[in-house]
Amino acid sequence: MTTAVERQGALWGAHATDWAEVQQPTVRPAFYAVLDALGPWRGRTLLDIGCGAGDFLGLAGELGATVTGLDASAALIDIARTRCPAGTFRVGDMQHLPLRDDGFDVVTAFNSLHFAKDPAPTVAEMIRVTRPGGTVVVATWGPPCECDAIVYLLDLGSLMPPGSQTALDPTDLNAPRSLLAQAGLIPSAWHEVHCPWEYPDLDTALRGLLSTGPAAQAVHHSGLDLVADTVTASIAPYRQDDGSYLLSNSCYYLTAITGEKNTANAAAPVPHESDRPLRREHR
Amino acid sequence: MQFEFNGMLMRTVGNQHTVAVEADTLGDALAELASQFPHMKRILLDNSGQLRQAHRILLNGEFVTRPGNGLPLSAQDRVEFFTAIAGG
Repeated sequence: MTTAVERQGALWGAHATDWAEVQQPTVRPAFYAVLDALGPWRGRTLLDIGCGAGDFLGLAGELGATVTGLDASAALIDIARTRCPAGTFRVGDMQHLPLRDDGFDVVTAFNSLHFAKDPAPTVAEMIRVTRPGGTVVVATWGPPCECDAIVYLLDLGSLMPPGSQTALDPTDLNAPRSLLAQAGLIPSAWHEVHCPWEYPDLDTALRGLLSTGPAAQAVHHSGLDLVADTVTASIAPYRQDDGSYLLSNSCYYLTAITGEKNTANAAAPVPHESDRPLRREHR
Repeated sequence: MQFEFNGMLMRTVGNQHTVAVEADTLGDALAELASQFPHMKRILLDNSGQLRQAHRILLNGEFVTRPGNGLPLSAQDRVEFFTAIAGG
C-alpha cells in the first residue's frame, strides 16, 4: 500500500529535472540570505528537510558545511546526490526523521513545512535532531499582497482535488511562527528576502510552474491541457514586453535557537497577527 | 449583504470575519470589496473580472455552482467564501 509520503514523493518527482533546473533556483535569494546570516559554515553540520534537488545544500557544502538532506521524492534525491556527492541524502518523511538526536548544528525547512501531513510533530523532529544551542530555520512565502505568485497558487488550487490543501495555510506567516513557539522555542523576527520568479519565456515558465507536487496533482485531477492553459492565464499579467515573465515575490525566514525554552508561551497560543510581520528586513 | 471570510481572505480584510457590502449583484459586490481592500482584487478576480474558481461561495448556506457576476444579491443575504490554494 502506498503511503501519503510516497504519493507526495511521486508527485514531486514527476518533473524532477524541471524543478531542479527552473523552479527551485527561484528560492536562491533566501538560500543566500540564510547562508550569510548563519555563517561561517566550515565544519558545521546542516540538515535540510524537503531539500528537493539539493540546491541549498550544494551552496552550503561549497562553504564547508557537512550537509544532509531529506525529501519525499526519490527522483529529486537522485539529482541532489549527483549535484552534491559529498552530502548524505535520504528519501523519507519529514515527520519521522531517520536521524539521531542532537546531530546537527542547523536544521532548515525552506517552503516545505506546510507540506507536512502534521506540521507540529515535524517541528518537534526538527528540534530533536538539532543539538542544544543549534539553530532551526523555517522559511515560507510572504503574504498575498507581496507575492504575485498568489494568482498561480489560487488557480492551481482550483484544479486540485477537494481536500488536497496543505495542513498549514501557506500564506499565513503566523502559522509556522506559532508552531515554533508552541514547541517551546523563541522565534526570531521574520526576515524578508525578495525572491522573484523570472522566466525567459512561456515554455520555461510552464516547465517551472508545472514541476511542483501540487501542479502534478492538479494535472492528474484536471488534465494537462486545462492546467497549462489556466497557469498561462494566471501569469499573463506578469508577461514582459520581451516575452519573459517576472513575478515579484517575497520569502520570509525566521530562526530559533534550540535550548532557549519559551516557557512562558509554550502552552499558550500566539496572539493573532495581521498579515504583515512585526519587523521586515529588506536585503 | 454580509460577506464572511476565513483564513487568507480574512487576513486580507484586516482580520475581519464579516464585511458589510451594499450591492445588487455579485459582480458589483466584488468590485466594492476590491475597492475597499485593494489587495483583494487579484485574489478575488481573474483577468476577465470574474470570481476566481479557487473560491467557492455559499449564499445563505447554499452552495452556488460557478457564480457569475450577474448573480443577484439582496441586503439580507449572507455570502460565505471558502478558498482553495495550492502550496508552493
